[in-house]
Amino acid sequence: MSAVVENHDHHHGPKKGLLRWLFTTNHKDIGTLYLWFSFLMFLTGGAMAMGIRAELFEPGLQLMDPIRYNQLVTMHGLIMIFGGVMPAFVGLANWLIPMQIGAPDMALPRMNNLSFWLLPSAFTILLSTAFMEGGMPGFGWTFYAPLSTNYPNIAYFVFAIHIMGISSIMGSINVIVTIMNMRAPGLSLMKMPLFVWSWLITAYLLIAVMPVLAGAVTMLLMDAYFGTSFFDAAGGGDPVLFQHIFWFFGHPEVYIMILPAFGITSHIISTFSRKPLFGHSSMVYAMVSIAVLSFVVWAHHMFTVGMPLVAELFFMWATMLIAIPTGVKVFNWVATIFKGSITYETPMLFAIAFVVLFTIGGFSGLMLAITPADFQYHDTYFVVAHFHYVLVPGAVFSIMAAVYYWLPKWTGNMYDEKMGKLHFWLSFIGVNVTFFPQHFVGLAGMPRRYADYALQFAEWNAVSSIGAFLFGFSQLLFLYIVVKAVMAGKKATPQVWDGARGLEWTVDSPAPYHTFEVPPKITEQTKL
Amino acid sequence: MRKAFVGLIAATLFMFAFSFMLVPLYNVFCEVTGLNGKIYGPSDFFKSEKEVRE
Repeated sequence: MSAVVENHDHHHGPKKGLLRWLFTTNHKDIGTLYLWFSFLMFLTGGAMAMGIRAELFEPGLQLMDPIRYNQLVTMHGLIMIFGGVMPAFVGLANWLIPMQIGAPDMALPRMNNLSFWLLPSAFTILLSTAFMEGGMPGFGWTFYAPLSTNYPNIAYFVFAIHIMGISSIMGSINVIVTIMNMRAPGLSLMKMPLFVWSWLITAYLLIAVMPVLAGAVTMLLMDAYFGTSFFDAAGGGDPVLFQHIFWFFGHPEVYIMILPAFGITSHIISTFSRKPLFGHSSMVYAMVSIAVLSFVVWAHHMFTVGMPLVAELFFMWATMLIAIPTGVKVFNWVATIFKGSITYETPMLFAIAFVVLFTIGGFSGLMLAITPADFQYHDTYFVVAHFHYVLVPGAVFSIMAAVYYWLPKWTGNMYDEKMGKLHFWLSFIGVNVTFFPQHFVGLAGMPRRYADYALQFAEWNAVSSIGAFLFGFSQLLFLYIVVKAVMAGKKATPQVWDGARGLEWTVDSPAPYHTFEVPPKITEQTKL
Repeated sequence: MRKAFVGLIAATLFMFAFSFMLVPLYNVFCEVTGLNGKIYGPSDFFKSEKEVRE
């Protein structure tokens, strides 16, 4: 890479016109593209969730047949995971990692451009199945074989997953190479800000498991079209093997969607408590332990397939072990808040809600980890409530917190604080009204993935749907607030928040197109 | 920088190959431990009861 001759002028601004966005290799432009793309996907997947909740508002079939319902559930999952949460984190990584480590850009800028532009093509392919005979995939985002191998249009699904996988692998390679090679002099690994650390670990997880997902969908494709029998019992294959391979990817994947959130929360809580983060290195060790443990717990997603007792015990205890490093993180956040001079700006509200609600999701996860109890909870709405608690007020709230927190740095304008708070409270109430009742119906035995349900679940489902509409439509407010801050607003200072630490706050607001062309000096006095 | 890049690409390819390696590994694991109730070798279905006992 060092052989590339740098002969262009370093002081030019962005290109004019729309082609700027197509050909850009600037980490800030690419970060912006990722974030807008992820927001578009968030609204798309959200619209599908609105359809799902509208159907479940009352028992019986009102709006759609069960096949359409299953398609919406599947696409909602795929879009929110691969199109919403993951690109949002990659976008934040693009914007923030170079600025936080004092690098001029990502290490591999052209690959960076490609890894973004693969995403819209992948989702175009995936969504194009909506207009085809046979329709969208309807086998759930987990695409268990051999149900999925017998579905129409599966090749589109497989290729879309391949392309998304290639995109995230390239993104991760870029993140690792950047962090390993382009840190400002004096910035040792253990001094790195936690968002950078969380992404370093996430990137390694992605490199380890995205190829396994690619392998799984390739086998699926071969089973469907090339006459192999990886997962078809009739040909000597094994459907349970599919679940093992899928969850070997799937469990690290759920940590891929939460580790960057841990990093973001650490920054925000420290800033608005006006204290350095409590236990910086223990946070790093906790994230590393969580990442390592994520590879040995996958079978807790499939306790009911008929595993030997000893395997069930192993996966149960390994899963419970993860609560320890996670507990360390929650403890450190609370200890950071303790005796701080706290103010409650919108990012802080989202971060505190993250800590509280993510912990609720973590505890329901512990309940699910208990094997004998899981036989009761498996495939009920309790599971739906659990993973939505860790993903919506977990991952999604942290992304919103990050947007509010760094938006003044990106746009140079402060967002409307009053509107931000309103958005927070509507989202907070909406999320809890949506997902808390799902614990109740789940424990009472309501199964997942059905378009209809028994009459005794009607009340809580109606409540849940009302909450979902509240949460869904309040995201339009988010769009309004962000657009308003992009257009105009009170000018932000470079420091923005008086308790903020880190190199990104030493550059102007809005951050100039090129930052840290000369690496900053990291000394003992640099507030990181 | 090149070293890191090549190493990461190699890791990616290794994990892709590893996912296919899981298939025989899983079969061997099931055979060795006797888990999963998989049937190996020809079926006894068409044999008489006497043959099966032998």
